[in-house]
Amino acid sequence: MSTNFLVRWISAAFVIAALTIIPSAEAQPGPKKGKGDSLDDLVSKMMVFNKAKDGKLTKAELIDTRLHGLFERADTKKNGYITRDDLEALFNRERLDGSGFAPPKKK
Amino acid sequence: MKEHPFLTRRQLLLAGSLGAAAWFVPGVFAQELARTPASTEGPFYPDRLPLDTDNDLIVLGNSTTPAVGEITHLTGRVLTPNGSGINNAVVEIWQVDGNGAYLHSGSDNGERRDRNFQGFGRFTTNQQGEYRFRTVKPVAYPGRCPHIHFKVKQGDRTLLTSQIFITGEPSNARDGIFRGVGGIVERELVCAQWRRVPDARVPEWRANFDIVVGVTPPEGREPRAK
Repeated sequence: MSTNFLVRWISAAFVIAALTIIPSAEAQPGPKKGKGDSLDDLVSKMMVFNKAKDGKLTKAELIDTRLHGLFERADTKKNGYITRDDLEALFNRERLDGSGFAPPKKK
Repeated sequence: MKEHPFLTRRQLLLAGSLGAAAWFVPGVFAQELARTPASTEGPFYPDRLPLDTDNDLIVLGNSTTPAVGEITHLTGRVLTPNGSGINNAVVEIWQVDGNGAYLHSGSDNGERRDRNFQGFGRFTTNQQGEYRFRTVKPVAYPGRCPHIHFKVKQGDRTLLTSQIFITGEPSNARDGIFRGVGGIVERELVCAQWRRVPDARVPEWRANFDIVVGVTPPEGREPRAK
C-alpha cells in the first residue's frame, strides 16, 4: 500500500471524525443568547429516540422520562405515539417569540 | 465535481457517505439521556455562606420558627448520560425567600429578608445519586420568574450550574434567562412539576428534578438499568 494512499485515507478519517465525533463530544451546553426556537431542532432531538425508525415515537421508546410531559402535550390525538406533524403543532403552540424581561443586577 | 487536492473523487464520495451514515447511527445517541442544560449562576450566589448549610432551608439551626413560604420537598438524582447515579456529588441550591430577597448583601429587598430562611443548602448524593431538600416554593421577583439556582460539584470541580423552573408557570415565557436556555427540549429539561401533597394542612409541594451531567463515573461502577 503506497504512502500516498495511506495519507489520503488518514485525511478522510480525520474529516469523518470532525463531522461525527466532535459534535457528540460537546461539553455541557451553556446559556444561549438570542437563539430562536427551531422546529428541526425539536424534531431531531425527539425523533433520535425513535428506535423503530418508523416516524412514530412511542412513550416506551422515549427512555428519557423527563421528556414525557412534552410527549403528552404533543400527543393530542392520544395515539400513544407522536409524529413530526405532532411536534410541529406543539412547536407552533409553544415556541417563544418576542422579548423577555431582563434579570435584575446586583446593587 | 472538482478534483480534491488530497483525495480522489471515489474516496471523497465514500468518506462522505460513511460520515453521513455515522452521523445517523441512532443507537449511539438514542440510548443516552439528554444532558441538563447549563444556565447562568447569576449575581446572587451567597457572598457569605450561612452557618447552617444543611438541606433544610426552612428551619435555621435549632430555631423553632420556620421560614415563610409554601413548603417544597425537592428531590431528584444526579445521573450520567447512561443513567448511572453519581455518588458523592454535592448539590447546592440557593433562591429568594418569600419576599424576593436572596442571601446576598447586594440583593434587592434585603431589608425585608426573612431571617428564618436559610437561603442556601447543600446535600451530598448517595450511591444512587439521590439528593433531597426541604425549601419553600420559589416566588417571582421583578425581572425573574420563580426559579431555584443550583450547582453540582464533585471534589473541587463544578460539574454544572443551572436553574430549576416551575412547569407551566406563565411568567416563564417572559423570563430572559429561561428563554436563553435553548429550545423547547432544553426548556423542558430545566423544568420540574410542582405537585401538591394531598391532605396537607397547609400548601405543601413535591418537586422531582433529575440532573444529567456529562461525566465519567468512578472506575468500577457498572451502568445501571434505566
